[in-house]
Amino acid sequence: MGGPHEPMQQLPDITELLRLSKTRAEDGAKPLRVALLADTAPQILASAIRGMARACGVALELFEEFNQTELQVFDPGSDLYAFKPSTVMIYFAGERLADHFCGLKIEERRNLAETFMRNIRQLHGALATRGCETIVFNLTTPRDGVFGNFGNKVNSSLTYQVRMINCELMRYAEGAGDFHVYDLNGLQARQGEALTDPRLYCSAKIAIAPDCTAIVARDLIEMLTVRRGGGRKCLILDLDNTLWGGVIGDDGMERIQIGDLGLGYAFSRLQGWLKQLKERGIVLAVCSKNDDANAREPFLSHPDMKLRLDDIAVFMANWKDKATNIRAIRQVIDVGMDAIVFLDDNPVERQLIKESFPDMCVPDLPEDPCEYLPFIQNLNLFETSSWTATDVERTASYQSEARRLEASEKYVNEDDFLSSLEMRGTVKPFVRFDFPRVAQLTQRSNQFNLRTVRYSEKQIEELAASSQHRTFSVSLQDKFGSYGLISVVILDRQDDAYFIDTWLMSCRVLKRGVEALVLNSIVAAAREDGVKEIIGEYLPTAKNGMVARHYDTLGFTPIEAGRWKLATDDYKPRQCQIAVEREAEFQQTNA
Amino acid sequence: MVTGQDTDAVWSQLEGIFREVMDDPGITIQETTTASDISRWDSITHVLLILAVEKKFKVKFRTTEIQSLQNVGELVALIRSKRS
Repeated sequence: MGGPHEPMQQLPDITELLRLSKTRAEDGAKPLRVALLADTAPQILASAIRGMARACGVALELFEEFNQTELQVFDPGSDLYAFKPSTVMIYFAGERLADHFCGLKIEERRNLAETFMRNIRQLHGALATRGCETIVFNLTTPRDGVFGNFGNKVNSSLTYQVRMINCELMRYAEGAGDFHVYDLNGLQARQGEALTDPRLYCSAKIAIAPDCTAIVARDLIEMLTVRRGGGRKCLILDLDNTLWGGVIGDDGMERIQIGDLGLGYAFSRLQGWLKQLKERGIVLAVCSKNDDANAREPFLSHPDMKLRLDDIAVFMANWKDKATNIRAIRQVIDVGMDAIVFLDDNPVERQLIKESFPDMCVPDLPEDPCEYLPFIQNLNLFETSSWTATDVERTASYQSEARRLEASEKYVNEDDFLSSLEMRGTVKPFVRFDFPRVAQLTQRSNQFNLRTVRYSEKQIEELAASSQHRTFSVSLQDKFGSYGLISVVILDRQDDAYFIDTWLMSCRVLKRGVEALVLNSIVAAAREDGVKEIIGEYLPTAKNGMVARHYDTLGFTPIEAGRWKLATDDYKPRQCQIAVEREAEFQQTNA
Repeated sequence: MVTGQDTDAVWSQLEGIFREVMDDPGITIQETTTASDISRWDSITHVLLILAVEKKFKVKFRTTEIQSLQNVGELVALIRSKRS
């Protein structure tokens, strides 16, 4: 069984999950604290979630409660709050709603969606004030034969109201950063009748058939872990018989299969979906054994190709082995191995990649290209907890990075190269426009992250307004393009010192001198506030080894294990090759 | 026709299911075994046990049949009646 990021193509069955749920979690990692509130019997689903967390190596504490959702959420002294959950999952079953619906008058039936959503808003409001995130399961589509298809025209039918509710949940979630929807209805579309066993529902109020709980549990664990820095960010693609049918080097442009006809349509559909992933912010790279010119030709001039060269961040077509090429791709796209998915029709290549990079996600594609797309869609590999403008720009920014890399090879001297980049940096306190990106960085940055504290958008907003804190967001651009917002610092005033609560940076700007720029800004801010000392702390994780000596490198003095200090009085601003735009903004926003 | 051998096979397969679902390789079952004899036989494992039995023996039970079971012997009889 793999780590949290390896997709489990063969999910453990419920018996195995039950067994795992009773094993002890490994000590160490701070557990996710999650509650499941349901109006149907939650025990089997809860066991599945616990078992799946163990199977994925995720530390998780789960609190479950049956039929007490409102009581637990609206009572500040409830067991729920004593448990201190960070996320509360609310599962109102469609079956229960159908029971409730029977007893309503026609007028009340027409208002069901409105009544339901009012309750949801109140539940979410109460949870939000307690700092909990909310995940609500949407409703399964009822087997509602009362009106037949005519029910779609009758607003007092259950079908009509359930679909309204599902739409309203999406609309509400769109405007609330800490409110998420689990798409149980989407799972029902794939599982159909298998999702519910009417015998278990009638006799034990078990709404999700035990055999399906593994999938629900897998999905929920993905949703819960992705906001703690998980999430896949890059998809590496083979070409021949993966993106099109046939072999471009042998068959040539005229005979590769792509387009609306025959098997080509399967590849067109896949490409259309990949293009959407790219637009969402998943970075696409090509890794293919081909002559470079041959491999590029369809992207340049085949009329039926949906993917074009500018959709691909890094294009590696040569005769080297794929592991070597993947290492080269990661020179540009420096995400963790566990954030990469590798798509290749050839089982031999897949096996080699699995052996070379055990953390990488390598789905075993079915043999029939028509099945590629539904197969990979069902794996739900690209769960995310946010979506910002930066995501959309990501491919372009990696393309700039590839050009930078090319340019850097011309310079022997690092300083000459940096100076040739003509970098400009902006340092400013968190502003509303940046809250989503700042929160996302705290959730996703794992490597250059001194204390790995995760913040929600709402918490970022609170920090921005707090008089006890100073916040810094750093953006960088150079002659090749913008890197966007790439570094975040949060200072916490503790007596006469500023404690560095958060210092993180995107690895895309390593070795650019951003740390020096940031430290200069931190000290300048401290001096403005008359603060004499800066305290830094390093909390080691499995991934942040690269910053273990961060504070030593920047001239801090060790106090004790994992803690350093810096006196602001005798600090001399550090040299860096980035032109700064800072003071003006600071004074404005703090005025 | 149900032969003695068939019954033996049902017993040993059923014992295997009990051991797997209850996660206890030491479990042995007899005609008179009930939930009170096996500590891990609770409401959850009961549901999983019944579903595993259905899958293994390719049978489907009615709710009333499941609810009226008094002991393992009756479960075996039910499996046999569904398969004959």
